[in-house]
Amino acid sequence: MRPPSQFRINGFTLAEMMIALAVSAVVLGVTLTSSSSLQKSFNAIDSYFATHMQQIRIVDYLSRDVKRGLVVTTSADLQTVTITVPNYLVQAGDPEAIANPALVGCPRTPTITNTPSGPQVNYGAVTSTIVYSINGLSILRTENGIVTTIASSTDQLVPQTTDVELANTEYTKTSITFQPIFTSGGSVAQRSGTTVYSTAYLRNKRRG
Amino acid sequence: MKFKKTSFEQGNVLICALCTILIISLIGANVLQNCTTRFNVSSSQVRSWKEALFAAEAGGDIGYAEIRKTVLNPLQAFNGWTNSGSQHVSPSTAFGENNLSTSAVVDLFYNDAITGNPWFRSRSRGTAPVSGLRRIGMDDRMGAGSRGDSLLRKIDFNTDHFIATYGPNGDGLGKALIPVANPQITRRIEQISAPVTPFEAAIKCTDTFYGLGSAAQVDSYNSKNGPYYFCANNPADPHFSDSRSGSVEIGTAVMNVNGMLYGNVSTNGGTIRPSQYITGTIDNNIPFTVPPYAMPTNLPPPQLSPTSVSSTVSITPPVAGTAAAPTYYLLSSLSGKLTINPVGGAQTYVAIHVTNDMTAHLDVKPGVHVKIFFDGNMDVKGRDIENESGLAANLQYYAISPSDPATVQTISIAPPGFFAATFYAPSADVHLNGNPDLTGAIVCKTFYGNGNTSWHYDRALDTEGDAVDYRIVSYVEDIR
Repeated sequence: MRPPSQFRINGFTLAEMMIALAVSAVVLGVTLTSSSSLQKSFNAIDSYFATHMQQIRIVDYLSRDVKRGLVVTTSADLQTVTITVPNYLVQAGDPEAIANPALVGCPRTPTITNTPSGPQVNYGAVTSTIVYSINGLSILRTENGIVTTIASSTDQLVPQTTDVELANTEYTKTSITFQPIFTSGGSVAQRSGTTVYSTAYLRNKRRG
Repeated sequence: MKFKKTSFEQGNVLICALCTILIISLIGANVLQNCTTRFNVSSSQVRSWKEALFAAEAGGDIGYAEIRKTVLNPLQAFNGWTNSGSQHVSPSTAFGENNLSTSAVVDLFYNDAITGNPWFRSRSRGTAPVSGLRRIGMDDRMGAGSRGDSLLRKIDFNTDHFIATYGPNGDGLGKALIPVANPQITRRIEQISAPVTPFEAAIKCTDTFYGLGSAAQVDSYNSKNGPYYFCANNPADPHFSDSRSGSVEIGTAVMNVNGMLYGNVSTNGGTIRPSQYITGTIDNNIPFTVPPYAMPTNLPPPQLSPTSVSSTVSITPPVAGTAAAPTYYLLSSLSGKLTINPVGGAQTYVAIHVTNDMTAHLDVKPGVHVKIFFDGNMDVKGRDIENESGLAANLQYYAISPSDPATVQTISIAPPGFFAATFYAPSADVHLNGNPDLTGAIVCKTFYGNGNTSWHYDRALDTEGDAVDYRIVSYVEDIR
């Protein structure tokens, strides 16, 4: 008796192989395309989200400095903001620090002076200056010459700050937009749809 | 013999399926991990960072409320706090749905040289817990390949970074690694509270106003520039800018204005209209209240004598004193005549508390700065208020508000006589008769004056007088 051939039983015909290969190719193609699209979508969302986080960071930075600011001015193009803030901490080179180096980094006790517009609180004889500016794709914060990049994105972040000065108060209005990378048209709506607004009041506004 | 057919292909399908599930799971996990970092940053960390500031400002408000009590309710100020000299430390307060916490340290850091009024500094800290997972792939730099997640927001994941780096008071002393139970963000602010002085207008009354006479006038000058002379109708005069601050502020709509007002007028719902008799602005929509006045608690112990004055008495304080530490007399009555002399040629500061009515003739010599606090009523003639320097700030009357609001307190000043003085009497009805020439300012409940009075507000009074309230004038955040 001759046993039946297993190879013959388990093999594929040419037609079966071609159909299987065709189906596999289609499935593989769909999988790769889907993965690629998924990856692009994820990148786009991640990029949008990351840039949005940078929007919030710029707003928070600005709000923090404006709140404690004595004077705020904005440039004509509204993209450079200069803030004068109290020198809360004793810095190296300050008179107090020269007299007692151990005071460097310590909070300073303010002094009071009378001005025509009322008593004024002074933290040290001089103030600090903070400048927010745009340099290429980066948003810079410069405090007394020390530069910190607080946001950087290829999504064309554009902050604009308006300084509003009233009789008894002063505040800044900031709007920040960007151009998401996955949009192609670059239309106004695509940019304005990303806008974040913020308002911050000066609590130390100096008059006179 | 016939062999049974076996299907080995089924195992291959299972392995393929498992591999597919594994790959998809890995992709999903990677996406989830990235999303979790972003979610933590955007949601809980940003929120906690903002809430920490809210908590710190709540601590500032708690401190500010206690600072206000030092003048509005002195016996209750800083009750329940840990008090050591001029420093007061609050207990920690937890509040809000997200379990925020705050605490404050208030200290007296400056006494005004002119008035002696204290200035307070309030340092408060607010803490907000950070929910979600701990640090996952965060970086604190901004640039290619880094996202600056913690560039702005300092998060205490395991220990309090501020105490570890700068010490509990931020002065570099007492640095320690203090573990935190849960991730948290802490922010610190410092606020300066300045005393509000009482004499911001020539006449300020919280209730009804009647007066002055039809031929009366209210104007102003600045005693720092020399004695008063009328120049409110001469723009070319070098002191013209100081001459039109004779403002009148009324807390109700009931106001009958007569005479010429060289200043602003405000009412609460009144119907005052612009006219040739009012040179400044008119605002009929300014409500305000003036809190009752309580006897200050920061005066030194009283002198042993005199304890009452009912005849002619002359006193010379043992020391010149200062605005913050005057020589203090406690009198059970003040009638007759009291003369107060300076100590040599020094500027001399005196405070007198009369626990009854005020009917005395007071003679304040030049160089003497007197504050009279009285519990009862005041009934004098204009000539009984003898302030020889002519500076209203040198003779200040303070009427202590009755403990029972229903008790009527009166101040009545009759002719004849001119004088220079200030009155702070938020609970008193003031009656002014005759045609006196007055220099000073008054704060009262109701005002009635039917004489053709000349009233000159001294702009130097802007910063004179006892603190009647506090306002926050400076705000700084410790951004470390």
